[in-house]
Amino acid sequence: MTGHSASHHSPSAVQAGSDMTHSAAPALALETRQLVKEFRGFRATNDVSLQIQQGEIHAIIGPNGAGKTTLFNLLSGFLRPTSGEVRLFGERIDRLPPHQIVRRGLSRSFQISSVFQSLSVRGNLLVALQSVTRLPHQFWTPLSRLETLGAQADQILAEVGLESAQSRLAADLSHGEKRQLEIGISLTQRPKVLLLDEPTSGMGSEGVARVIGLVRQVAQGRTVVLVEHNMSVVSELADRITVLQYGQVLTSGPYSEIQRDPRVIEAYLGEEAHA
Amino acid sequence: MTVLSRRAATTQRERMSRAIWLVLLGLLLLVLPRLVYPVLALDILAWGLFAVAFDLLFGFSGLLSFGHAAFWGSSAYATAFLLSHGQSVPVAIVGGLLSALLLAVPIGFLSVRSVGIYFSMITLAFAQMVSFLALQWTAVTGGENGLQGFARPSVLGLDFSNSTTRYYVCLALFAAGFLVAYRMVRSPFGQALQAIRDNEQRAQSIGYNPFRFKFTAFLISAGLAGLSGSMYAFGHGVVSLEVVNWRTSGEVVMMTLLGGTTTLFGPVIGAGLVLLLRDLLTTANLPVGIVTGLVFVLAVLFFRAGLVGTVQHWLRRKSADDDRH
Repeated sequence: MTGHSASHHSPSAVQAGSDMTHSAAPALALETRQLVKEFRGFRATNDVSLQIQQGEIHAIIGPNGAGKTTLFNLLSGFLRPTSGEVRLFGERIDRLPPHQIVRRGLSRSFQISSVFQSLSVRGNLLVALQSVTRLPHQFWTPLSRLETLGAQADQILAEVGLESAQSRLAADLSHGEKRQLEIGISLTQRPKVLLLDEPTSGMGSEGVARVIGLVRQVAQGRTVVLVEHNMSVVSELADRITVLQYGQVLTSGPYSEIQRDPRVIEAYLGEEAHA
Repeated sequence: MTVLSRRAATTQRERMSRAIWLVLLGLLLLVLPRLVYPVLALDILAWGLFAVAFDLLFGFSGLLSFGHAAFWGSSAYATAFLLSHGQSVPVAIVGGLLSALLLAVPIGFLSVRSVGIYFSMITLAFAQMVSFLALQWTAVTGGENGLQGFARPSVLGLDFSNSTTRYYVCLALFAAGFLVAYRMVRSPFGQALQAIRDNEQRAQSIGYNPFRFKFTAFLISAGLAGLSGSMYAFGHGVVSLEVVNWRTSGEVVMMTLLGGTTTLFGPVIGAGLVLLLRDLLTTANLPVGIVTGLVFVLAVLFFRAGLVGTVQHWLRRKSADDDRH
């Protein structure tokens, strides 16, 4: 899968092997090259080349079925690409399983709130924090040992605003609180790149405002990629936007540019305008 | 009340309630041979630990094994075989446990990658292979005749021909096995296992390799099932093809569900109830299968959390109400 270089500005990167070969200025946090994912002949992701700069908030938008979630699954290792590459800080990650990708600094959230229902809010964070330690492999160690991670858990609880809910069972949280916890769980991995899959889905305007604040806060010193349907969220948060349609990149750029692009209006914004 | 002190109060109350359950179960098991005849008491211990082993896998890992008879049965055969070839009781029991563990390595390795009904079917298929092997390999298993009348030479002056002595030896083994399960579910490992059970994708996305954890849990569960199988052979004194039959796998599912999954105490109570009921019905000449089946159906319909689970929920709700006042 080499031998051809796309219109990327670092041809040196297309050398044999898969090691770090970074040349020029704007450091890329996450990059895909001609990424393709086929399901029985159907191309859910079709030749997607993305470049996500370090430190930016990058939104991925597109109509339903445009391949946003498939792309997220490819980036985080839950799906393997049919062809093409995914690089995290220059290193290829497209053949790695999810649990190894997260160790390299990429953490994701899910579209449907994914928390550990039978654990408490604090327990959710502790179980996520302990995954980087040796603790999970010790079945003769009492749970109280987890308190060595307690201070970190408290800090994240404060960060996502769930201090008063910490001893509640995750199953009993409201939808909005689950979304907050979900982001908190991702933060335990100290990600350099955070993928958020529709962080405001199913929320009222108040909840949306809270999540916008939260995303802005956790984006400090991080790269954030989010899939989002709510255009006001996108316009407020995103430094750059990539528009997907039929699994392909339609265009990419800042909101002001995207907004005026007739193809985007046709494919996506127009749909909103009609609604 | 601050959040922190409420958290401390909740943990303390949970610890108290766990301690109470432990003491009650301990007392009950200590006096059991006075309440029922010793061989029945021995069966309750062995099946009780078997159900605990099953609960580790089903309740805490979400894997419904329909082939746990393979581990219980192979261990029972190995123990009986070693005893009938003149080995001592400790060697026979450890040998049984090890044979179950050894068997669990390939079965677990191949089965824990699948989930749901596929996992159940694969474990069932392996258990059927073990069952077939037991029928054919008559040199070791005695085939249709099974193994019986093997010696249980005394150790440290303990006379194993006395069933009450056997009971208390088995009680010590039971306590050791239960402790392993108890510590395991309340360890960081147990938390990771429950996280994987709750949401495997999420667990992967925070760096857990589900296979590794499920495989370990499978081995621990099979090891405990093996220990209980050797307890059964040692205590009961007879090992027949029934121990590797698929009905045995089904029975342990029923006992665990009846008592309540993820409670650890529940499966022991469930095993006790099923065995007592069966004993009662047999003596009264009533149809065992129909009545136990009916009890099971009623329990699943009305006590979905199992007997112990339902009581625990009720107590928790009551204490939550008390907090509010």
